[in-house]
Amino acid sequence: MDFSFTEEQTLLQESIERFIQNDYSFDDRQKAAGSEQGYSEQNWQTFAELGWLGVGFSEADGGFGGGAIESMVMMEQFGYGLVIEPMLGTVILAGGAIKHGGSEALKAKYLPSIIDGSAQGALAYAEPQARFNLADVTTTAAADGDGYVLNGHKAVVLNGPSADFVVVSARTSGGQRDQDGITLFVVDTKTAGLSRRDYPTVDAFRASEITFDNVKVGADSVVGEVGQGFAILEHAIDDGILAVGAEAVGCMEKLYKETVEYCKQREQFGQAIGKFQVLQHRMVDMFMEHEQSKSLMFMAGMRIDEGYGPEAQKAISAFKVQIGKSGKFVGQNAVQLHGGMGMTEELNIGHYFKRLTIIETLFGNVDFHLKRFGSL
Amino acid sequence: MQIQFSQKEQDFCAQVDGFIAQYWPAESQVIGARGAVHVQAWYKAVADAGWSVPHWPVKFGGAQWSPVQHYIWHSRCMTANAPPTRTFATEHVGPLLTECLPEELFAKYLTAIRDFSAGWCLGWMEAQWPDLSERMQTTLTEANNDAAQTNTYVLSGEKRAVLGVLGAKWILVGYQPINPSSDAVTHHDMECGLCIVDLHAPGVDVRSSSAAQSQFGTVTFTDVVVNSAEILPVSGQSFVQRIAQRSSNSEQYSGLSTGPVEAQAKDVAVAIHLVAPALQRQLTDIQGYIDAQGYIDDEELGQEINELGVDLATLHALEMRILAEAESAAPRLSPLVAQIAARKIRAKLGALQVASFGYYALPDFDARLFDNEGPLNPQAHIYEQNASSHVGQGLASIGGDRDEFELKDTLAGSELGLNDTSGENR
Repeated sequence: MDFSFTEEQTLLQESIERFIQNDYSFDDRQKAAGSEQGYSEQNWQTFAELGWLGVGFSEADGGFGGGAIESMVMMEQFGYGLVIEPMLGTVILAGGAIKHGGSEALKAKYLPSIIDGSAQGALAYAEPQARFNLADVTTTAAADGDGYVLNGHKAVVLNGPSADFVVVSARTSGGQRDQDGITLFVVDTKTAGLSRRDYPTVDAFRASEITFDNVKVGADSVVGEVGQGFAILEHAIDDGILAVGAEAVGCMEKLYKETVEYCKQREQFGQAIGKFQVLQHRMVDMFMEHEQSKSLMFMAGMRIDEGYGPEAQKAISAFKVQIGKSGKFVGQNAVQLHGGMGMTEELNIGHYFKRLTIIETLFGNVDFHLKRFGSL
Repeated sequence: MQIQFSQKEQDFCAQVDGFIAQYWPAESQVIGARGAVHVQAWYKAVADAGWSVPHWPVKFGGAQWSPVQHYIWHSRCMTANAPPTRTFATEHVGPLLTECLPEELFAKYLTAIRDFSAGWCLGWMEAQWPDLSERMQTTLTEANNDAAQTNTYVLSGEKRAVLGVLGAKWILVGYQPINPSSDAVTHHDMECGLCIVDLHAPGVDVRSSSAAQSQFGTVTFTDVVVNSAEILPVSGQSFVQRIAQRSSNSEQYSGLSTGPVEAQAKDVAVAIHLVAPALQRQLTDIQGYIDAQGYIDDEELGQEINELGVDLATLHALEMRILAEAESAAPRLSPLVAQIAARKIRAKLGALQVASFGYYALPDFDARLFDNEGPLNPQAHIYEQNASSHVGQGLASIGGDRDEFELKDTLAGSELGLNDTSGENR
């Protein structure tokens, strides 16, 4: 049993930490978030050059052979810097689905372009009626000659506006909420019949509603086995939970540390407000929420690397519950302790809180994962 | 990062599992089904195996285990609901005595601790509690020794809220020396001292407290004779501070109050009580009770159980991290974080217990024992004692002095670099 990082993992952590500290100011982040694309293409290329986009892929696929721990290390630092670039949508979700279930041909076609930064992807799995149920799929894929015809509506597709391709879940058989009968397809976003409605999310990321209207795809675009896409989807989503959870841990660390520093400086009644015991204890609570989340993050990461299965799923759901509760607590109290400033656009505090709020909902909220935890 | 134990540690797991299966089999593991005979046999087996005091120096019976081995042993015992081997005597008294007791008394005291044949308690709290700045009212004075009875002293006073006094044979008593001219008392330059007293000695009166926890008692000393060999050359304050540093439940030892506690020793993982397996076992027991009652469909209870499950997963992760970091150069997480988290879980478990028991949370289990009529709830009797004890544990955490506020004060200073609070800001 060992909770320490390897030398490579430490180097990865330190290199991202340096980048955030030296080259990723909050003002730059806001500028990128407000651009047409919603992120900095220059930063994205830097990530590719530094090898960060290939960290989670095997060497055979052109990556660096890292696993869940490496992705976790990276996303925690991204959370600390409130990085807006679409690591989640492209690398973790779309790339993850292809990594877990794609044929060698699909991997060869898409993964190198993800790793070198030349392609953006998205995972289109949510539907308007489904809430957090991954198996609630009404989008259909009907056999059509050698291929399939897709029809349906996918909701809140993260990184949809920039995606060159989407991995989409569609029903090839079974009832609306059956886990069996779901198939994943990779679809080029320029394919005829695919249309998008793009918008920003509350945390300044970008998403799309994507409609498939008789979109034709070949049989070679199927990810994994026909009708067996649910397991691949669930695995990719659980990777996503670990990633956004790690991001949340980074956000929480930044928030509690900034709050402590602020309370050491801010004076009321002739002394720093950080001297008041009631506020000290509030900050200790924030610190504790962070440490508890971080500990569960380590466990979840190690469980996934140990082998994806019920134990890992249970750890992931526990982690998601914890970051949901902790993120809300830390975010709310950071804003509270900063007073009115905490809500301004100019200060980073409110933006971290927005990201934490979105993360609480992403991939299932606290209630959803409590039930999942209990059922496993 | 690696979550699995090493092969050597896994072999030790198997050895421990085999031991528990042999001496504390599944039928003993439900508290309601266990009898005194089973408990005695268990303690004897543990002592015979040489596992009763693994953390002691080897020459006194220690086993030179690694922190992980300690964790494996204790967590497996907790999960099996085995009678605890970490007692006040094995954890605190024994190590103290190995350091300062005259060698001729080793056999008398240490052997009895090692084989669990005699319980110990601590007499510290007094009526004027909690202001520790006051002098202790329990005093030790030099006796008017005659030629036949040399080097004896007289102890007088009263100790309150003494935990475990009813099952103990000896008590460690904190006292104020009032004869400073005597070398035997003052040579270690202390404010108050510690001495060993036999609870059955003349002049010792033990009464059960009427507090919520019946294991508390009050002990009165009326001119009790104490031999100089049983006066320990240590500061009483240092001893209680050490207890607080080495225990996650310091408040259970008769209301101790200490200053800031910092993780300092490499054996911190051994020192603190890693309690997640025990609490997990309690949750399992409560779930068993609820299942037996057949109202698990109650959605709120189900949600509370799930929440506690996640809380326990978090505590487990914290404890594993603390354990792993104890042997690495990585930044160390303060054990106080786990301590506060465990305290909250205990309170939640108590509340869940009351909620799940309904009206059967009302009867006092200890009182029921006296009528010898068996369980009150025929549908779930095997969980009854277990469940009742959870309610008591919830109350116990309120009785301590080193409360959550104090722990948070410590963390505010040690982890966040915030100044200590001054009185006017509290």
